[in-house]
Amino acid sequence: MNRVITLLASALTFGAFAAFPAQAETKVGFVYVGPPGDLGWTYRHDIGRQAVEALDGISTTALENVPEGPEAVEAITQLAETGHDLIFTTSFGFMDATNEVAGSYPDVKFEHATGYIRAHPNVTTFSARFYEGRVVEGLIAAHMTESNKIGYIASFPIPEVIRGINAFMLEAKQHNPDVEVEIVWVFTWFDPAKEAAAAQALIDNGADVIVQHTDSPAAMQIAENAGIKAFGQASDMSRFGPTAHLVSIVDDWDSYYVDRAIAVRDGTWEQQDTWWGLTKDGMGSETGMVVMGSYGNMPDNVMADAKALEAALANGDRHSFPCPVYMQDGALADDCAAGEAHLTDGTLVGMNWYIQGIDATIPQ
Amino acid sequence: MSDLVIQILAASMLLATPLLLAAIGELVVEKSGVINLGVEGMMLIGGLAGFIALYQLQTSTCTMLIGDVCFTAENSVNQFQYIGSLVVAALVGAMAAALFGFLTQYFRANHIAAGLGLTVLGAGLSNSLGGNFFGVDYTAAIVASVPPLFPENWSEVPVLGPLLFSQNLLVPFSFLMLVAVWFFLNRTRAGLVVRAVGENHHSAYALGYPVILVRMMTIMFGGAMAGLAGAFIVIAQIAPKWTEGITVGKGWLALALILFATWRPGRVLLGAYLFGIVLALEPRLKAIFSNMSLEISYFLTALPYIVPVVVLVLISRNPVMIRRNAPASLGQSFEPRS
Amino acid sequence: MIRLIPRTQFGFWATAFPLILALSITVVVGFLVMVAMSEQPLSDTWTLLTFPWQARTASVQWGFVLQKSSYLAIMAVGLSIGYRANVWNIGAEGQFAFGSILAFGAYVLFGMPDTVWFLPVMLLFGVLGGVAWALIPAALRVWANTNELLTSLMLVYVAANVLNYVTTGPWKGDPKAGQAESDPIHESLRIASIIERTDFHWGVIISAGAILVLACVVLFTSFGYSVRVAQDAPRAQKFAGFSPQMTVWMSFVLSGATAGLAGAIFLSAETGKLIQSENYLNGLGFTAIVIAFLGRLHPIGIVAAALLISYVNVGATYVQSASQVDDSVAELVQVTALFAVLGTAFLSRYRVVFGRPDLSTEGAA
Repeated sequence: MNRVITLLASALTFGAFAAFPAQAETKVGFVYVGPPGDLGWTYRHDIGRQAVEALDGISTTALENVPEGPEAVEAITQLAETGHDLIFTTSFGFMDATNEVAGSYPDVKFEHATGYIRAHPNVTTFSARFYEGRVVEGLIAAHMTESNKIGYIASFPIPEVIRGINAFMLEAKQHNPDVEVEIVWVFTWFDPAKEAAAAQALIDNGADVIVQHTDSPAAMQIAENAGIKAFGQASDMSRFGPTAHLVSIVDDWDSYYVDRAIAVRDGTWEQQDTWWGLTKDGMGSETGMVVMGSYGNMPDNVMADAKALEAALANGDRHSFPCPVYMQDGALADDCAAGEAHLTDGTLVGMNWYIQGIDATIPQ
Repeated sequence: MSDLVIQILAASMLLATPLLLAAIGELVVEKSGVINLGVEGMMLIGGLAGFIALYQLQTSTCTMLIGDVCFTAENSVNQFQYIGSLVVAALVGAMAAALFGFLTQYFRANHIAAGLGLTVLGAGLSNSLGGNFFGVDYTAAIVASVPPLFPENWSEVPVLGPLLFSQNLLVPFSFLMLVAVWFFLNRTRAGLVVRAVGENHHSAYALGYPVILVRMMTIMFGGAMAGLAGAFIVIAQIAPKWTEGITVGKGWLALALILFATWRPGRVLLGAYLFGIVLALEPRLKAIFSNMSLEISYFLTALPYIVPVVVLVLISRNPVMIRRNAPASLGQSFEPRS
Repeated sequence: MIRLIPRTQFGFWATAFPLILALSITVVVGFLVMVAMSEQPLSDTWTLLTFPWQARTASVQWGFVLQKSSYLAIMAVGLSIGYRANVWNIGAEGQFAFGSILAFGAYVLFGMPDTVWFLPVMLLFGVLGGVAWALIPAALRVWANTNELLTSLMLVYVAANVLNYVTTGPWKGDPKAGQAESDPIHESLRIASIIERTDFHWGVIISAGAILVLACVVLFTSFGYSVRVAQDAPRAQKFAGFSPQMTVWMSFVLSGATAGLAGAIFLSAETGKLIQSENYLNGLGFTAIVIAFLGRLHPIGIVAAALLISYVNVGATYVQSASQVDDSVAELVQVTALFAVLGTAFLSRYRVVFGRPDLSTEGAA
């Protein structure tokens, strides 16, 4: 009888060990469009990943340089196939692939950055209100420019980029009605050679402040070399332009990634769509996804004004697009005509028009 | 207006020099009867090697090293470090070419296939090593820019300043090399041997010239020059940075250049600068005519690749000139008849 | 002293030995690469070799392998025909792109039909697109004596620009998109998967069929014969009455057709829309060239090479997801295989002999 009990007990114990997989860890996968060494977009996502890696009971895997398009399907699928529970896909171009793979693996959670399609209940999208940073940049540029010509390196004519240009110019015109912007479309998010060429061309054409909506520090370095000013993008680019750098819009994914990873680990993950700016709710709560980094190379009063503006945007005293906002042809924007205090999210999401004061056409 | 012309010329020098360097090297290779299509691959791996060397040299003398990045006050490297990195680039390029040389000369492999294989190898190796070479991620490495060869204030001189005095040392080096190669091929005995091997390797062998050895040496020279060209592309930017595929087809342009120049060094110079001007025009025209139509904008982007085709067609219409200048045993494997 | 004597007899061993040697070299070098790149080389190599059985879903893994190899094989077989005759079409990537463009163009031109019966028309237009793009270097070679290698390559970059143009201009799709892309084609025109949730779709079958057709052309038609002759004895080809111009035309037509077909299948099966070239084109056309050489320009060899290389590629991404080994392992293995095959090819034409020549027994070969 004793023998039987011992045998049963050991069988149960071994059985218990066998039933529990050796890895009870939550595995989180990241799909990057470029290398963390780009010191821009992917670099900041990798910083976010490191924040997740530091959590208890969670391990991370990163696939870098994954081409957007059909190749991404394979990369994301392999992450799902190797037992990952949560997968972050960090570029717009992964949208189709993310949704396709999500349909095949309903037990895996997917988070897609800057996307807007959630075809399955296990897909969540998230993005940042980068345009809030552009407002601050607009104020600074208006004061710092002497030639009244701003050079803007833009990637693709999509709402996110157009929002940024509009927010920038709306604020800049408030402080310096004579300022003008010249926009070069490079049709790429990351191509240091192209960005450098565009920056040089803009400078040759008279711009003395460079703004970019692309991801490499090339333009900053060109600006430094030419002795003019520039704004950084995606990560803190001050070290690329010791005398040129004014401020950078820094992506801060840490708190969002940590929140979501913990939710998966603890089983509380739910589908949602998140759009954070300087703060999580635009009302002064904790840091959201946008941080302004390394103010410098400007007079103290400009810096004070800029920081005050940043605080006002963060705690909700100011909105980035306060009414009245006039469209390029002079008409009042629909939201303002309808009596709103500022442009609504609905308008911002699909923004494909310039505000009054920008003398250019959006490439169609 | 003249300001713009000077800017375009200065930019075109920057763009033409790697083409010139690679083309001079490959010219010698082809004069000896071998086609090495792996120029693009050699440029990539040589460029990465030069970048790694420059980075290591810079950080070894760095006074303020934070993590893997150097934050010195001077923010520039000196010429000796630059030359050191160039030597490394040339050596690595030569080694990559030697691999091709062994395959084609000793193992009688098909030249075209081996050359394409070298391109793929160079691209693949540089991509994987660039991300992680002994623990350092070179896509994140920042290297200070290389100062021009001449003193700072010389570049203020109008016209000649930006054109000549603010260029880094590989630019005058490329001109010197062109003259040296011309002299070598046309005025020295060794150059005569090279040309003889390229014209008729059987006769050359019969005369006692070591055909395979000569070819190996020209192949390695071509590789060294391609490595220098790659290093120039990476390092001579205002902000030297390594990215995958940084050469964007310049290796192939160099090959087209030689064909266009019908294997004559003087014409190689002309062609390199023609291509350089076309490459330099593209972003500037786009910035000046900022409201140009999409069609024209894309046409400009494709222009650096359409021009070589047009130029090749024009040249090739005169087959006599090609036959006169092309090495007669170009691309043929040498098989010694015992 | 090591000497190479041309073979007079070509037995089975003459062809097999170099391939076995090449395979062995590749395996050894591949393992060394793994040792250099991973912290647990033995375990990771084992994963690389057996990943379909380690993954959650084996059919998904095999699906990837078959899908990748179908594109590579069909393009490589088309290219190999020309390569045998020293017609160097290395612009398959551009012909692939143009095939996709024209297939999408047909969709737009015929008013965006929503029935699956239109699919063959799209594929046909894809073929025509590839042929059209390939005819440019062919024409330049035949009429203007221009080196087709360089022209076909330059046209790849031009085709990529055309792709970028149509996705940002006339066929621009959703304005909210963060990349340049067109609107998607209708659901019914998307090639379906054969096995649910995998990438193994009907396009693989179509490609397999095309490969069979081409193999028959090479092995059983007079054109195929002339091409096989051209590889070994170029002048005999002319004497037998096959014009070199015709060879150039046909080589480019066939390789352009296969690349265009691959492009059309890719459009329908993989993305359903045109995307900017940086994201749409992944070097399939260039890898196909390597596969063609790996397969020694023979249809059977090409299919085998395509399967092997695709297996290694998919395995490498699996290993990367499982243990963070960089997936450039696959690329390095591929290049090693290519160099090994190229370097051992001479063994099928020569015997290796050690020792001094014995003039009494060896006459002129």
